[in-house]
Amino acid sequence: MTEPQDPVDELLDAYFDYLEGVGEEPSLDHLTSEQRAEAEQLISSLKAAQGIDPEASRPSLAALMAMASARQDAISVETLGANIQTALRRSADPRARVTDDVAAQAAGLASALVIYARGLRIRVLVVDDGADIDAAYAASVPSIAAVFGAFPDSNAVLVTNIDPTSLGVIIDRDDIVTAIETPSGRARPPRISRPVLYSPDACAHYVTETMPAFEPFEHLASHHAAMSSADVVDVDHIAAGAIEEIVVSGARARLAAKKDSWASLGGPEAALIATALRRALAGEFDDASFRQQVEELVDVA
Amino acid sequence: MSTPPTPRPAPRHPLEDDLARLERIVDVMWAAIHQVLDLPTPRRRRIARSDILGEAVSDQLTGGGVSAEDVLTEAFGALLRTPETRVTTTWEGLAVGIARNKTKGALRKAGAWLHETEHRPKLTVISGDAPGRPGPDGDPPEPLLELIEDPAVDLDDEFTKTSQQLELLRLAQEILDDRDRAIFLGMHFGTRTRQSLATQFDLTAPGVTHVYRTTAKRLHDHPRFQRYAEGGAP
Repeated sequence: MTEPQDPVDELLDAYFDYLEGVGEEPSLDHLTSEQRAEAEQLISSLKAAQGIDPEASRPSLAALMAMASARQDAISVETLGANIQTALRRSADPRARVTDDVAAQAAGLASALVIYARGLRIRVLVVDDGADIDAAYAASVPSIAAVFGAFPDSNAVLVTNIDPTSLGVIIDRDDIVTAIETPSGRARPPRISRPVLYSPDACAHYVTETMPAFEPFEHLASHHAAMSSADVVDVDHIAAGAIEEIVVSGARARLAAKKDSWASLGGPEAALIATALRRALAGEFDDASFRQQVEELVDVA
Repeated sequence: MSTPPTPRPAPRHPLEDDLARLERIVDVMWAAIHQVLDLPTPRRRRIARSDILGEAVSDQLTGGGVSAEDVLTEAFGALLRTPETRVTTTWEGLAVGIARNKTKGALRKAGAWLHETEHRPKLTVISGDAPGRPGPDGDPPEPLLELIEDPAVDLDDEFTKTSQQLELLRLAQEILDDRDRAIFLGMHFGTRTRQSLATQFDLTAPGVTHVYRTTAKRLHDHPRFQRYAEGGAP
């Protein structure tokens, strides 16, 4: 004979059937208030345990902090690069770009990014968050010198932090060497010569000051391609100038015939010469044909 | 010659001054992430059906393709980046909310390939974007993932409940013998069926239920659990 089951055990059995998908959710109505309180506590606890994996081991706190810190650093440098690129494209060079400084990182140097704008290359050295830039610069001079030494094509180095202020300064090659100061004649240690600014602005100012804004080559090339030689040369001006030179020379001539004939040239002859020049520039005749044209003009004259 | 500066850590977060508290918070975040990711297992699906998602959609959630460790790393970083001025309740409640939101975001991202493209319509296989239970006034159903985090839920209360469960887990591992521990953990966290436990320990299915009940009562009455139940922490 089977012993009758305790009502709470019986209800739990039914509830596990329900959880395992083989029964309906049981009612608690038939339980006494004490039994119901116990059953409700167990069911509530089962619901709260939903989804918790008792065997899953989470990463340690130290590992999480290290990963979170590394991810934050990566995000910040990436964000700084994007901000600089946006500022340069808006104010200095629509084709400016900022990329990871893979070469420097492979060489073990401190540069994190490379900025390309108007043919300039600026390498980016990131210093402590919130650090005083002057102090950070003084401590970073050897690192900056190493970057300039390893990459002679670098025009400047941006020393910047990556906190929300993103303050930075552009360092020229001359800023990292001891210099003799005038008028005192004393040797002075390296020091910053440009203002500390919001880093994207510092880059934009440097690029604008250093490199003229040349028109894009493609624009010039297409502009010239659309023009003929006749458009480039002021044919009427050249012809008028040539005639004038002949008239002046004729005025100085000693032979009366030469003096009269050369001095008589004027507008009609200049117009004929200009027409001949235009035809020559347009490729309508070669040298021989041009000479023939000139001889005809002489005959007319 | 001076040396270049070493990277300085971000400003110290208040929680970093109480690592024991931070450990407890991360434990609950880890559990909260699994609670969202593990909803589709058959047993939990039934609980989800009745309490969270609604009859029509309980089979449609998937946690596939999402790394709980990645989600925890992201959620932990977000917690430490949150300034103290933005905490309206407690760090514990905020941590639960962040963990759930990050898990939802990861599920959505993992399911991005389901969305419509130029070359095909939206796929309708298992998706967290499937509609959930209709609103009480016949309002259109919200997407499934929206129902996982009910804005009305008290996150501090959720934190306490999950902390209690983690304390039950620790107690079970510390004070129960092998049989009782296997039965309690298997039944309570839904990793075993009664029949498999009955076979392993030569019991009937109702016998397994009885062992679970007596063990659960013992753990719930333990002073350490009681401290959590009263809203405190060891």
